[in-house]
Amino acid sequence: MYLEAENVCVERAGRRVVDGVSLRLEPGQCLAVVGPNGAGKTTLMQALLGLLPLADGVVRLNGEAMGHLSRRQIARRMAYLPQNYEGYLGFRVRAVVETGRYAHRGAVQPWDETDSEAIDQALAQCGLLCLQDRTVEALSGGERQKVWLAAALAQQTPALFLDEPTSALDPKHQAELIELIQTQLGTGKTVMLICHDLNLAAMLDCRVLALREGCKAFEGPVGQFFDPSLLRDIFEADFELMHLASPGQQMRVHLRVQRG
Amino acid sequence: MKRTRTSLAVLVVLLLATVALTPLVGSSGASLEEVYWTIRAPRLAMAMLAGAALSLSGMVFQAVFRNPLASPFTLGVAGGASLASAIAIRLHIVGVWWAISARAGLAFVGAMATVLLVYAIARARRGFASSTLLLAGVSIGFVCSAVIVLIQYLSREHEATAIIRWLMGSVEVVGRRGWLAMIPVSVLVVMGAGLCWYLRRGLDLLMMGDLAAAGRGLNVTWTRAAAYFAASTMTGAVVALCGPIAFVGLVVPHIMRFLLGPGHGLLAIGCLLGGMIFLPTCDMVARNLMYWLAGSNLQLPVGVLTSLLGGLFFLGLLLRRREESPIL
Repeated sequence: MYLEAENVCVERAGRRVVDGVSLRLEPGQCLAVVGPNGAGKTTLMQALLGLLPLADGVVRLNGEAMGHLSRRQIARRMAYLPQNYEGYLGFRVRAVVETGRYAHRGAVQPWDETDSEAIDQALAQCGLLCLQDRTVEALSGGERQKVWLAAALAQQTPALFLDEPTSALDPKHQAELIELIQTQLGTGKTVMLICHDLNLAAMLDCRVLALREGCKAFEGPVGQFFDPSLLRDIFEADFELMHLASPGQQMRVHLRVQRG
Repeated sequence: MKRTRTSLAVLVVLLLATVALTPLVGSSGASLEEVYWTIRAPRLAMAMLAGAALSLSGMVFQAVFRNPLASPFTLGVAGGASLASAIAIRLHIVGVWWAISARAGLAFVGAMATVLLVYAIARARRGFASSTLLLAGVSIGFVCSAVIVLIQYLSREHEATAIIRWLMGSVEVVGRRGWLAMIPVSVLVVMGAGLCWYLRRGLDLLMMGDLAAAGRGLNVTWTRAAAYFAASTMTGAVVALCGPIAFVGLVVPHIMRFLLGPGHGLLAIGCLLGGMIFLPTCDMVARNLMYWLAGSNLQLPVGVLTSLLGGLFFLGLLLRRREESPIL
């Protein structure tokens, strides 16, 4: 799967929230979208998924304009993990993950073995097999986040779009989720994720796309992105760069807070 | 799973008992045989039809708004029907076309006009989001109520009484004409119920939120519109004949969600069965209550009883509510 966006502009309530962003998402690539609050990260992701009307520009999925594809065709190629879920009155974990199969089966076709295998696999990958008969309301925030991710995995798409997958999670759940994303990348999936934790991009060794006020402020490898003066321009905050001794994970940035 | 199966079995048994027993209860001067086919059996059939349709469309509206307190009447369908019916009563528009009285016909037209108007308003405010739909429906409902009050004020006493009676909701249908009038209503209800059944997985997805649902491959706008029209048509058809029978569409889906879980496939079946049990039973009690209490032959309209039960039901639910209860 490859996705290309040309000059994408999105308006919300008359204001340009995303202004002329172009990007290419190659198969197997990991792209981290970062930027201050209100920079248009979530809006950009939703526009790429065809969930918002574009004010200008075009998004092509495998060369085909997004507007020509049905929601189901899109959902077979790209799975989306939104930032917040609005409601889920009393569903069991397995039933939520089952909804991930909708794009493959449609409205009335009964589930078959392919579906139950995909569901079991997604539950196992997220460590949810022992929780599958619990209702979602009975789970902790971290467990719920894994349920939504499992539903996206059950969709068995070549690309995953994750909107702040690790925010609001404790360190253990964060680590588990990062490992999961790494596993997905290892199997050749394309991942685009939005994150506020810049070091997450380094841990996953992503390409970085930084947005500022709806415009692209930077695009490139994470090594180039970790430049304190660039970060200052984008985030209006001071960062310190640290080099780690451990092999594989070389750099971290860390927020510097002025005292007094 | 065991609980599900037991619940369904109990519902089927209760339904058979309702069909067999409710028409037998009651006092009358004539022989049971006479009363049975001209009065009690059509009334039982009407109550089953109305109960099933209102319960199912209540379930659909609750999914569309992700709110367990939405009801078939939330979007003003009943308001439109009631307004048209009040106009028919005030202006003495009488007459029967085939088996449909002019008043019922007008009430159905009023209901569907409201449905289209609410849809058009929500559509014009681009996006057809559930919040716009809700606001449009509720405001149209308020306008209808206001005009009904105005008509009542301008009516003579017996007309006002007729309007109020209609607003209470009743499943009283009589004889051959009653049976015939139920035919178009049941056609519309079967069509609406079929569409709801087709949409069951989409309704499950709508419960997860619009964005998540769209991300899973659901055409959210189409699904919500189809669900809205299916549920509204069922409601409109029933209300045109019976008037707005309150709370059936709230109480039955609540009980069914408790028994069968939130999945809309099973829930739809449960709502159909539950509605066909709940409303005939309420009607049986309503028409005999005054006789049992005071030996009087006064028959209460079923809407009075369902309103009372519905209010008490939610009060009870609120007082008993445990922290982990996912229902309310």
